[in-house]
Formats: sequence, C-alpha cells, structure tokens
Amino acid sequence: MKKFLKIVIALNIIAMTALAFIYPHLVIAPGKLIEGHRAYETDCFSCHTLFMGAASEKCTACHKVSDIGKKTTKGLPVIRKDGQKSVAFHQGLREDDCVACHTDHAGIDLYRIRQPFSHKLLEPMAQDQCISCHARPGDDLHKSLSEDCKQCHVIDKWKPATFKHEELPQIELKKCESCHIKATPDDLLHKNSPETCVSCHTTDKWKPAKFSHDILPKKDLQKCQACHLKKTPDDLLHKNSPETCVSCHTTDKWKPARFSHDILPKKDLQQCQACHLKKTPDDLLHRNSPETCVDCHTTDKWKPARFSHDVLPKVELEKCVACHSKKTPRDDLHRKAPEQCGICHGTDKWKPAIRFQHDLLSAKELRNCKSCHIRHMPTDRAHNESTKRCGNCHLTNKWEPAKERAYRGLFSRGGSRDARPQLNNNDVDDD
Amino acid sequence: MEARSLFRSEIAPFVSQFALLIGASFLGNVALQYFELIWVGRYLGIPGTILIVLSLLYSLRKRKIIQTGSPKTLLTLHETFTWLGCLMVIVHGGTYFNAVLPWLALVGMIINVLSGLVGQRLLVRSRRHMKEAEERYRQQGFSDKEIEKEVFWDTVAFDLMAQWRVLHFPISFIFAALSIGHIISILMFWEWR
Repeated sequence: MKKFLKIVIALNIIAMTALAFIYPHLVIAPGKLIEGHRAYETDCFSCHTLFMGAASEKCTACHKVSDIGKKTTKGLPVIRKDGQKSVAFHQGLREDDCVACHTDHAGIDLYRIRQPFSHKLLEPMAQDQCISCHARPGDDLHKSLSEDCKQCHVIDKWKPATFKHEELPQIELKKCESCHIKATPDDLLHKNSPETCVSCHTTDKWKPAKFSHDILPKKDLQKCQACHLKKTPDDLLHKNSPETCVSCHTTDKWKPARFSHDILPKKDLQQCQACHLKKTPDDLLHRNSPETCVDCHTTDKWKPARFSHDVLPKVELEKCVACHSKKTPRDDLHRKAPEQCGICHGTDKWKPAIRFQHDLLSAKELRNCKSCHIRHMPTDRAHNESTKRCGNCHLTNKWEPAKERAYRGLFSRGGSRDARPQLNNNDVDDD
Repeated sequence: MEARSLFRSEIAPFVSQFALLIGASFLGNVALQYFELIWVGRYLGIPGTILIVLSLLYSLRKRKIIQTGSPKTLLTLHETFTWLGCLMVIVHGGTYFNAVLPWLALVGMIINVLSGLVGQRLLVRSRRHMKEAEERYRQQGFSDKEIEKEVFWDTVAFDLMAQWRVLHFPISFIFAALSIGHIISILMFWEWR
C-alpha cells in the first residue's frame, strides 16, 4: 500500500476516534436519549460504567426507590398525564435492576423484548397487597367485596375470576355480608326482608331469586306495597281500585289476576269506563249504542253479550243496518229485499225469518219465484217436467197445500207429493 | 453479439450476486419485523462478524502466514463466509439510523463486498487466460492436483488481479477500522451480564 494512502487512512481513523469522544451522542449512541436525560447526552459515563453498562446504582443515585411513583427527582408529586393515580410499586420490587425494564436510548427501545410486567418481581408481601397498586373496579359487585382480590383472581391475569363458595365452611355460607359488604340493595323489599340472602339467592348468581311469601306473617301479606312499592301499574284500573293487591293478584305471579266486581258499590258498577276506558270496541254497533256496557255485557266476561232491542226508540228499530250493516246476506233474496230487516226478521233472532210480505213485490216479480227461491226448488221428476209457474199450484204464504189436481196423473206416475222444497237455513248467518 | 456475451459472462453474475445479497437482507429484515423478532437482529452482528473474521483465513493463507488448507477451498469459504456474514450484519443494521459510526462501518462493508465481487469476476477472467499454462504444466508431467495448485497461484498473481488488490486492501482496512471502532464502543458501554 502506498505510503500516502496509509497516511490518509490513519488520519481518518484518528478523526473518527476524536469525533466519537467529542460528539458521542452522534457517533456512537444508539439513538436519542429520553427527554429527561437529554442534558447528559455527551456524558455517557453519567449513566454507564466502563465495560459494565448502565448500572442501577447510578439510576438510584438520582431516582430514590422510596420516591418512585410518588415524587419526582425534584421532590414534586407525580401527576400522570391521563389524570390516573400513579402506581408506586417500585418499593416492593425484589431487586433494583432498572435496565431490566427501562432504557434511555430510542434505538435500544426498538430491540427491547416487550414482556408484560411480572408480579414475580415483587416481594411476596407486596404480591398480596393488590389494592396498594390496583384500583378496585367501580362496579356494584366489586364495591361490595373485600380487598382480598386473590379470593377470586389470579396474579397473572384478571380474568377469568372464580370463587368457589363450596369451599367455605357451612357456617360461613350464611354470612354473605362478611364478604359482600353493602351487597344488600337499598330498597324496600330488602329492607323489610327478615331473612338472610341465601333464603332467596344462590351463590351462583344474584338473579333469579326465589322468595316464598309463606315466611311472612299473615298481616304482612296484605301489605304488598311495603316491598313492591313501585309495582302498582299506573293505569285507570289500578288507580280506581280501592282494594289491596291480594284482592286480585296472588303471591306466585302477577297474571292472571282475578277481580270480583261484587266488591264495587252498585253505583260504580254502571261506570265501567272509569276502569275499562279503552275497552269499548271501535265498531258501528258500539258507536251507535246509547247504553252503558252493563246493558249488554256482564262483569264476568265480555262475550256472550245480550242486547234488548226494546230499549231502542221505535224509529231506531227500523235502522237495523245502522248497527248490523255488515250482516245483510249477499244472496238474491236479500239483494231484492228492502233494507228494513224487521219486515222479515225479529229482533230476538235472525231465524226463522217468517214475515216476508210478498205483497210488497210487483206482479212481474211475483211471477218470477225462482229469482229468489232458486235454492228451494224441488228436484223431483214431477216438478222438473212441469212447465207451469209455481203460483199455479202454490201460494205465497206457504208451500203446502198445493193445488195439484190438475197434475194428479203426473205425480201418480212417479212424482212425490212430499217433494216440497226444503228451506236451506244455512243461507243466512245468525246474528 | 460480443457486448451480449460480455453482459452474460461478466455483468449479469456480478449484479445478480449483489442483488441477491440486498434482497435477502431486505427479506430477513421484513421477516424479523413480521414475526416481532427485531431483537434477534440485534444479536446477528456477532455471528456475522465471526463469519467475516473466519473468511480472512484465505488472506492469511495467501500471504503464507498460515501454510495449511487448500487455497481454492479457502477462497470458496472466503466468498461464502463474507456473503453470509454481510447478510447478517446488514440485517443487524436494519433500517434504523441511530449513530454515525456503525452506519459508516456498514457502508464500508457494502463497498468491500462490491469490491470483492469485482475481484471474483477478475479471477474468472484470469482463469480463462491460464488455460495455456494448465496445458503446459500437464505436458511437464504435473499431476492434476499439482496443476490446480500451480495454476491457482498464477491466476491470483495475474496482472489485473494485482491491480485490483491495491484497491481492495485499503477498502478492507477502512471497513475493519470502522467495525473495530463500533465493536469497541459496544464493549465499552454494553451491559455484559
């Protein structure tokens, strides 16, 4: 190698060495220092010991173990950026090995094998005092429990949490509140309950709970609202009910409920809508009904209902379709008949309909019996072969007797005198 | 036609070998990040350095500082160990720029690899020129093993190789100096426990 080249190389090495001493943070430091230590970036040995690395003794010279998590190196209280309470656990560590967890150089942080905090680093006594580092969860369950987290949780992870009540001595199982402090709900039901928790609840879960009303003294069984204060429904029926709950409901379940109208004063029995406000059906029949509910319905049940047409004024009796508008059968007979149902039907029942006045019909219509009685025509041979009109033999007020002399021979050849038409009562529905 | 032949015989092998090194380093780095094993890269510098140091056995043999070992085998080991060592050191360096000295050492190493690859090409070319010498030795009654040994030294002493070595040595020296500087700084500040 040429001498000149050797000199150049030597000078470069010397320069690089000099730069390493003057600017160690640029030439050899593995990344920037953390903000708090930035002032020491040109003084490597403020933290490092030659060939020994960063010694914990140098860390604790400034960061006193007793103050970590409580006070800063300047003696000010530690306030976390997120406002949470700072956890001071360093005092409980088995040994002071700062670099096992911390690094000051950004470059080293990249290579760090990130592992979760191990409670095994803590002194055994500190391991048992969970609450000294961890905050108790703010839910109802934890609010009521003691501070011995290990009863349910393991040290490695919070979940799953298990507690075996079976492992407790029998006598302890009845002292729920020794662990579940303040667990009893602050409501009337529980305040008035004379029993222990296990009388109603199981150790597995709070709900569902069983409660036997049989344990209550008889006089308390009438005071439902002492426990079920908010249970009375806010409706008209219950507002107007002068009775206690047990008059209608049982202790087993709310529904079905029985209610005896007999307990009401007579005058109130006419005021159905005071309780059953929304019960009146929104149909023509009920809209046009001038009566109270009890005129038609009973207090036992809604159906069947009775209705006396006698209560109606005579003029209203002719307006059947005002109430029974959808009841008119859709057959030929009814289509031709006038709207006044009362001409043929009674108000008591729809059938038999016996009062049809053929006189109302025109002479032409009277000759055309089939246009109404199409379903009533006999089907025997004598009638089939007859070319005569019905009126030649039969009258409009009744089918029998028929004037059959003129056709005696016809009937004797195989016809039947009894082959009279049968009214098909299914043509019209009952009301 | 001649230019095409030159590309195939000289340039293509050179470029592909270097590209393979850079590609393998990149993939190694990506794999470490994907499997969250970046910390492994931190320690790859040590085996990488050991391989590079072992590759220097060939230089010692060539300068007759050591007398044992087949020169051809040692050259193959030199090429293989440097390639693998460089791969490990590049993955060790990663893509993190933390300090000047280790990065200069890394750059020095890459230049050194490039120089080594150039030397490898020159050696192939020298071998072609040495075909006649090989025949001459055979006529003189040398055994195949003796011929191989004689031709090898003639090849590495070929003119072009001699000129290349003038450049390769200072490059290697600078790389060594920078690497040693980096290693010393680590030794000084590392927590050896």
